[in-house]
Amino acid sequence: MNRRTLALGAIVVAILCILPFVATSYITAFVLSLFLSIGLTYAWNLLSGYTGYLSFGQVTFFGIGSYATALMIINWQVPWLLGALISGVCVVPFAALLGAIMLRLRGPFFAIGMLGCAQISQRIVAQLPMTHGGSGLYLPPIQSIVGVYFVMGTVALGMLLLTAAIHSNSFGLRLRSIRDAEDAAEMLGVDTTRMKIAAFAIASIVPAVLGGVDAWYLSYISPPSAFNSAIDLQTVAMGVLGGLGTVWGPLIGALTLGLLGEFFWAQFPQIHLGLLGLVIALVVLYLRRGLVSVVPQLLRARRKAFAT
Amino acid sequence: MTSLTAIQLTFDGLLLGGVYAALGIGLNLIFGIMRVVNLTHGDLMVLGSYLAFTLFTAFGTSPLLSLVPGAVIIFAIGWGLQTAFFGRLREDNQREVLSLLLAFGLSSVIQNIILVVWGGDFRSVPLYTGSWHLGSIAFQKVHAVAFLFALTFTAVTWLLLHRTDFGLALRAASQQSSGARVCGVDVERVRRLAFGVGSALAGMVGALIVLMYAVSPQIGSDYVLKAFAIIVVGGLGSFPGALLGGALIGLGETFGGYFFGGNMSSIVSFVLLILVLLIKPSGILGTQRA
Repeated sequence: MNRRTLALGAIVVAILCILPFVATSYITAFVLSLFLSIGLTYAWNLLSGYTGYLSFGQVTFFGIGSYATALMIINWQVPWLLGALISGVCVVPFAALLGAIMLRLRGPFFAIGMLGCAQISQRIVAQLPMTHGGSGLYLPPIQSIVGVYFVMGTVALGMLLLTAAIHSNSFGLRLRSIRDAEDAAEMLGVDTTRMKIAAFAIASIVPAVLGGVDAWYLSYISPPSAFNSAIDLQTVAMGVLGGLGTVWGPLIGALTLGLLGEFFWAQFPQIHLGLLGLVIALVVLYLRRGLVSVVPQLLRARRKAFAT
Repeated sequence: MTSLTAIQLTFDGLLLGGVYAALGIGLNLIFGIMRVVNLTHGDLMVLGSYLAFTLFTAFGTSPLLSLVPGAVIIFAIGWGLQTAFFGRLREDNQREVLSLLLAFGLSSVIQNIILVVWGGDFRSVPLYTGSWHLGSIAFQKVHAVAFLFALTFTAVTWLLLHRTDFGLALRAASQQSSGARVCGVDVERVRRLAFGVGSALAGMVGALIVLMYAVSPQIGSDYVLKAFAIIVVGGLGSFPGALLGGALIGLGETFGGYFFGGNMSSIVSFVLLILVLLIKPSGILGTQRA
């Protein structure tokens, strides 16, 4: 990232820091939801965008994080942020184990496997007695959303910076080699298995933490809400629209769909999911590299226009 | 568990397995042959269920009859999906990933369409109630009827694949598309027909399912997983494999439901899927590499 980008970024971050104190609670809540989407999309991008192993099961970790945090808050009065962070840490060994199993499967089967994971994890959690099944869990009501706002914002920013750092260093290059030509990478000495599991585990932390924070934010969770497949659908749509395996893609995708969602689709909530699916389908057919690939073209066109 | 219970569960499992096998055969045509991870397969099945339901509530026709027009409609939809969407993807190394994403998106679109048109409530067609008895084994009439119909679809599909020119062209295109082209097979047209036939099978199974269970727009996701479990366990691209896979998944669900409760029965199919993928990815009777 060059100096100009960093300077612009710093200004944006400063504005966002002041926002909850000057703007209406509606706008603050909206920006908060954008942070959540951005964070989740970056996490998904780290795994699926970079390694090419599409996972439709990130909501598994989101739901586990939600429930683990909620149970810690309810049963042991653990402060919400600590609970969410503990969930994030505790999910790693589980994710590493799950990843070690699932990542043995080739592309399409990994996707199907993760899709199944999302479904059965919801069922299993609903069966456990401590989760009160379908009636859900009630948490103490939240007093101010400012704390949640800053935590989610930090996660979103952190994931952006992490992706930027990884993109060009050896870890990121190795991940991308897995996406481009896994067998060749393996032959050149890239430990693809360990790389994939590492990406899988890292990509599981953020949904778990965000799930925990989100549970506190909503003050109520139930299996269908915590393991909502719409979360995966939205994350995939944002990631694909922005550009898989890029640094700015998830941000652009999340902002675009988030804004569109708020202004247009809020009018038609009953076709929201179908529209997300349509976005995915259209991007795959006509804009496979995502919006990120459109920006350089636009810049070039503008420069040409000014040159002549 | 008494031996009588075991026999009963086995019987029920096999009846269910027959219906599941038909679902798997449809998916085998699409995934086994074109390697398209057709996540819409379950939703097209559900569409078949809802079409049968609508014709029943409007005209009182039994799903066993209305599955014919339903199959035609869903054949057209499947044909359209391949023509307008999956067929447009270029044959590069990104194709698998992209077709997966495409299927994921389209699945959501179809589910939403079903939701908007028919609403989110559970629907079923309560015909053919009652049970028959074979000695001390009881089985529901509706399960037996569905099984027989599923078996018929399976047999017809087998004839289609092994006794017609289309079937020959399809198998040729799946084994070696370039070789098939050289022999004069219009590979793209064959793919569209295959997608149509596979989807039509799903739709017909849907008409059977709505007789036995209640359906809602979202259960397409459950059934597509089951369908993949069936063809993976039985063996990708293998016709008898789909029958075996259907039987095993059916048995897994009845026995799993007995031991772990109804809600957990679908976990059994998932676990079987993962186990087979890890141990022998080509499936029990599989010939292709996974």
